[in-house]
Amino acid sequence: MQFQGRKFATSSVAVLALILSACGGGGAAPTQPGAGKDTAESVTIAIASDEGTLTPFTNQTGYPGNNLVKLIFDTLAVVEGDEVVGLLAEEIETEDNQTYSLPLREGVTWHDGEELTADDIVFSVEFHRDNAEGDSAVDVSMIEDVSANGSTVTMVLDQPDPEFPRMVLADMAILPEHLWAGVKKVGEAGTDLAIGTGPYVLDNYDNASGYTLTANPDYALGEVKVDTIEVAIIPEESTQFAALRTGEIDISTRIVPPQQLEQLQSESNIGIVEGTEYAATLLLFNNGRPPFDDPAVRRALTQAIDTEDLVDTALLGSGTLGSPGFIHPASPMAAGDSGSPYDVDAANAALDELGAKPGSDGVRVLDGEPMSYELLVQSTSTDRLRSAELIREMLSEVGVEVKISSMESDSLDAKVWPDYDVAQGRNYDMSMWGWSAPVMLSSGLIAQLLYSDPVKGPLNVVGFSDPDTDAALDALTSEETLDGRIAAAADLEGQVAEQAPWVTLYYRDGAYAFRSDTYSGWTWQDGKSALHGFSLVDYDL
Amino acid sequence: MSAATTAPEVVARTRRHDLLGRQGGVGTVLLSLIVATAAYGFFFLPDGAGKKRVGQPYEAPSGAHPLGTDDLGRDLLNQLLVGAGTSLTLAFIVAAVTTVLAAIIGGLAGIGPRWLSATIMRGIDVMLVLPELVLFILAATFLGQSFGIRAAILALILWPVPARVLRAAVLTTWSRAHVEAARAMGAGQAWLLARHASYLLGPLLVPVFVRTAMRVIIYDATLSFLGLGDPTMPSWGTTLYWVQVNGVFLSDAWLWWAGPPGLAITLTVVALALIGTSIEDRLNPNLQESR
Repeated sequence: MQFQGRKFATSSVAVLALILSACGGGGAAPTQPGAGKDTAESVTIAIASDEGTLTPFTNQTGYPGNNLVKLIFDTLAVVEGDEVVGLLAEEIETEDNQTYSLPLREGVTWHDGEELTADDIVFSVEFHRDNAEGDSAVDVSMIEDVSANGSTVTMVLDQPDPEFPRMVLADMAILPEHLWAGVKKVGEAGTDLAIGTGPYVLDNYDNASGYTLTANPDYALGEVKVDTIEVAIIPEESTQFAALRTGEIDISTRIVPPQQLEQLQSESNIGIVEGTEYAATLLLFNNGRPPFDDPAVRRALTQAIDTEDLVDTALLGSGTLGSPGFIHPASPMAAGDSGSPYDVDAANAALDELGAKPGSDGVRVLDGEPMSYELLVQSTSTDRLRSAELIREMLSEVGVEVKISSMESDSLDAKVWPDYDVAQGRNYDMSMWGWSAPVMLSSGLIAQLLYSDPVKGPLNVVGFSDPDTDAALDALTSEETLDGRIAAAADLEGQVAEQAPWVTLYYRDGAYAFRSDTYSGWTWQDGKSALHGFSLVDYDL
Repeated sequence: MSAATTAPEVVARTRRHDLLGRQGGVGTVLLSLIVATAAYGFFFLPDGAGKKRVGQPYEAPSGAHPLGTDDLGRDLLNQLLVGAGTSLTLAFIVAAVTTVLAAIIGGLAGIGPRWLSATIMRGIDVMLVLPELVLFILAATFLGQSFGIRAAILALILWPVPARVLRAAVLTTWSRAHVEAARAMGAGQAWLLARHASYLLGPLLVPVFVRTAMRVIIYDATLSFLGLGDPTMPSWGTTLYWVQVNGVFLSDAWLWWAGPPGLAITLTVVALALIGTSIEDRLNPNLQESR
């Protein structure tokens, strides 16, 4: 879950796209409108590691693996800007958010020439239900019934879910029944099964050098703008950017480090596509360990941290200030800007009031114990390391000593989230942490962060427990409409800001660099960054 | 070196009186300067120097900050001075531990029973086959990056080579006429070591110490540069790590940001190498006899 979500790399990016579509305005607009190069014969994309055979069950990462899969396999719906619109389905019809009726588009064919039918959709739902495997597994367990009537598919859910189109319809790859019906071990699916209805056909795959994708000549849903996509595997970040400078590759799937952004921006043949990543960086308190079990202490420490300084210094400005209520201000669930709680004087006053008097070395003593705590940080994450150093300085201003322990991220996970099971407890004072975007954007996952019961709160790595918050979570998850959920989320945000189970420090901005002299059609789509259908296809939806 | 003399014994004696020679002298002066710098950083700089922000990020050198500031606005000269302490402390601690380990293990292999000697020597052979740096990177990745752990890993990885050297020296010493004579008269191992061998073996520990310190400086800087050190603790390697992270080599700032720690590492290693080789030249019986 660390670092953009380990388990949540499962469908993280795709789900994210789905969930995100309602996100008002937050970076959905394409930046850097391409001057000129609207089409290209060939474009080379650099990825960091092999992604297997590019079937929906064999990609290795949510991003960019799942993004590549979705160029080969279409979904029923797709997130365009802030909206979920039909892709294979002509439209998404529902009255009660429980029964969804999906008339399919006509004339869509598989890469092998066979026609797409409604039975393929029914098959796909059942196949995904039976084979929830792989990095980007889609959870379709809420679909109680799926049936085909002519060219219309009907899905009935076990309870109303306004987030269903984003979470499932826009994430579930549709599979050809005539090829996949006999597949038993999806993890071993070969390239012969990488046959979808998508805009690109997988032409060639070599696990050392990469992939060749060619435009689907019969694509019915729009016009494909790039004829050939070469996908090169280049593990090293610095090598990718060097290759971009020399024109060896045309886009890097890695975020441009803030330190290099300005320099790349100044180069005339390099364009940058930017947007909000929605993944949150947090400072966790171990709520089960004194003195962090006292909300007043957590609030006081939160007030001592200047998140604006962190964004300006550690991210060089390429980030959004953390909202005290956790939810990204551009998210549809956000309650609105409540401002930063940063106030050193208030923090000092609150600690004085708690009876924490400074000792001889300037470190406060609370209940007989010096306020000196260990802060864990992932040694491979440069922005978190720098932020941890700044936090050490900020907390020393209020008489709290911080000792930083930088460790490899697996070791850190083992202390904060042993075996990814919060019921096993935790062993830390404070830790730097990150949740991937889907966690913030789905109300169900937000609830999992905060429920005191480990069964309902499997992501509650801070061991937070508060009856009022539990009640607010019940109210949120039982809402049947999107508007209802948004209103309930606002109440929840108030609770989170009040209780301060952690400090939401910032959300990093995404910035991806491409060669504008080869192809400049790259656009930003929340949750998918630049590598998605809208960057490469002129859809006719 | 010094002019040829007829009798080897005399050569050895004069060399021993002039333990360092000119090159060793240069090395000693250099090292003293570096240690003095580290001591200054340790004793005279305020607490938190190099860790606290004192200016704007990425400042160029100025009167207030002679080497400019880093990406957080912290004084780079302070980091260099504090880093000297970190790097040298680690080097000397590890060198001391390694020397003791090598002396004990090498000594046991030299005078212990045959089976023990064989076991130790084959164990050393195995360790020598393993590439040190790779081993070190693996250990640092999995065991952690704190100062203590790094010191322990380095000491455990670096002892085999000096242990081998010391075993050879023990064997040579044990076959010396006066030691054999004493042994024939019934002297015990401990007495032999204390009375007849210590003055021959003891000085050999000096080059072992110096050379190990030199390797520690390099390895520690390498690991820190790769991000496997403690990136929040000022040291020369850590500074270079952040230089690379921040893409400083693409701008002029490398001159005052990467240059000084790089130079410091180089000078320290050169100083230790000068001292080490000149002492070894004079003390190692094998080297003397091959002349």
